[in-house]
Amino acid sequence: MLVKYPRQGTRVEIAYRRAQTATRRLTFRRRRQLVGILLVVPSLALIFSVMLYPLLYSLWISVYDLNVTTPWLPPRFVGLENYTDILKEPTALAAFGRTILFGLIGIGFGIPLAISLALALNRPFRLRGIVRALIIIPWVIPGTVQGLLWARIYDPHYGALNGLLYQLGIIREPVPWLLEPSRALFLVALVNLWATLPLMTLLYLAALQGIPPELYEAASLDGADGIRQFRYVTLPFLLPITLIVLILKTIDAFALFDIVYVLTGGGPARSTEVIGYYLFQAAFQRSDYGRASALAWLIALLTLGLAVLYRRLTLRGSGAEE
Amino acid sequence: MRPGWSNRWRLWRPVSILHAVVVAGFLLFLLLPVYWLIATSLSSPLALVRMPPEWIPLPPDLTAYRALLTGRADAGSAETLTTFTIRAFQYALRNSVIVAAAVTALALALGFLSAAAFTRLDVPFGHAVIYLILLGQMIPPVVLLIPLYVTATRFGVLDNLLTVIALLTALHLPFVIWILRSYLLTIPKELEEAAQVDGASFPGALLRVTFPLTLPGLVAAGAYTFMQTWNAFLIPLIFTSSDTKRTVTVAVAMFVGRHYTDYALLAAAGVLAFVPPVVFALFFQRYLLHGLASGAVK
Repeated sequence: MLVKYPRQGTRVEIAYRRAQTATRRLTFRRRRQLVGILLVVPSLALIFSVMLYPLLYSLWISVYDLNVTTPWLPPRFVGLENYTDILKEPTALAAFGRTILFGLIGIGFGIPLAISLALALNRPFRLRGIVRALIIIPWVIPGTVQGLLWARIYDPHYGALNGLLYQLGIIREPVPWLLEPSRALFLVALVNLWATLPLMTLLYLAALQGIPPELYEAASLDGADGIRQFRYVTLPFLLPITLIVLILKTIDAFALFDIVYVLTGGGPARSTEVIGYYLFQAAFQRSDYGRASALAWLIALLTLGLAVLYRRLTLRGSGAEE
Repeated sequence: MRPGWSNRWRLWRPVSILHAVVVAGFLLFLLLPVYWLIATSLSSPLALVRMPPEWIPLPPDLTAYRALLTGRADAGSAETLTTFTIRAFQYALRNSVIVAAAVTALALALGFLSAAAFTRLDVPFGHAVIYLILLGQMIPPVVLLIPLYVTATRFGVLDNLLTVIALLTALHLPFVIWILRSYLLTIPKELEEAAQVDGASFPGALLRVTFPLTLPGLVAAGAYTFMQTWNAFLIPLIFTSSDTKRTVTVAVAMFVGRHYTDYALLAAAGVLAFVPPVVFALFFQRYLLHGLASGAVK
């Protein structure tokens, strides 16, 4: 059917034209929205089914007794009992303590070492590109291979460490490195330091390269020596990265699992049973889902709390206002 | 003064010597352990039970690699444990390739489509959704693993590579979306619009104009995802149980757990397990650091 187009310039024609562009714009928007939703839905469905749903389910598990050993009984609501139980459990508290010690070792040694290496790599020298590429290697090796690798070093009979110390004349008898509870945790911490130093160094190196050189020139004009330049020019620029490193190392300490699994299995005498390993055992070897979920939530909240605390500290350190 | 002169002079200043010592010290600390695993994998069984050890395996003994890659143990060590271990490792190597490749491909495909939608089309509540996804990244995976395990048990999808692939894809997808989104934001929309004015459809413009420009971002996100999934341990450990379904990281842990004493074979398995991520990291280092930096900053 042919619609007679109104005469141009009349009021009717202007209104008609406006209506036409409006509908066109609307359908265009709606089509863009529709395509947009279609493109996003597969990703969101996957992410939410693996994150949001388990998150809620995890909360539910943490306040129930699932009766895993007696599956014919329905789950029993126990309130916060799982949480209080785990906080009263001496082995869990000991694992928390070891994790904190482990984290402090990692932060206390890791950050100064990473800053030193980053400073050394920030000075131009021959082969710098190659050195910078090579130091990344320990970080990208799978965790279980990291464990295997150090197991070959700490081995009491044929290990490289004993071999080296023996040849240097420092020891006469082989030292059973990992069999001594008082030092096993430190040796595991050394492995973790070795594995995480590359990433920390690269983060600090990126921060160092972001410092405008004019600041150093200005500082030396003002008569600042090397130490003062480091204190007043370099350090403030390293603080934001230090916040990130602190958070990464904390998450890392609470998640530490694969190295312990391969290297010590939590032993000897539980001396390397950190919280990540404890959680794995509670959940997947003892099937104590309720308490393990409660513990997982406590770890998540603690990590979050520490992240907020670090933020406060670094903000105060840099003298910035919130 | 000639420039060569001053350079040579500078090389011997105390500061430079200290600098060289520091760099060399760190390099030795980081790389000697790796060297020792490689040396162990190339040693003959006899050399490995000597004290002090032979630091340089000469001539290199390739028996362990031959056994792991061809699946045949030496006639001398034809114990059942060795052949069993070797077969399990070959399955594991194959599974790791499948899982890492599938997760990378899936995460990039889904991530690119989502990132394109978030930056080029109207997604209702797009910003809120993006930040919600990012918030999800903050959840420690341990919190999610118990309910996922319970659910997987109920649906009977344990010990299945597809489950591992789905889980790892979901866990890495948020990061991929975030990197690709920040990458797409730097590419002007006008290029696509120009193509659309010239008669291309939206998918056509996306595929022929935007996609090639996003390649560096895709390479960065892909290299990172591949490394992370290849190195994943907890999820394959929990969600697989049979020797034919394990990934390489789990297989290595199992070997050590069995108190297996063919150290050369163990070390060779370890070397084969770390070669892919290390090669990826060295090859894509520039992309990787750029991707990480843009992911962290934006």
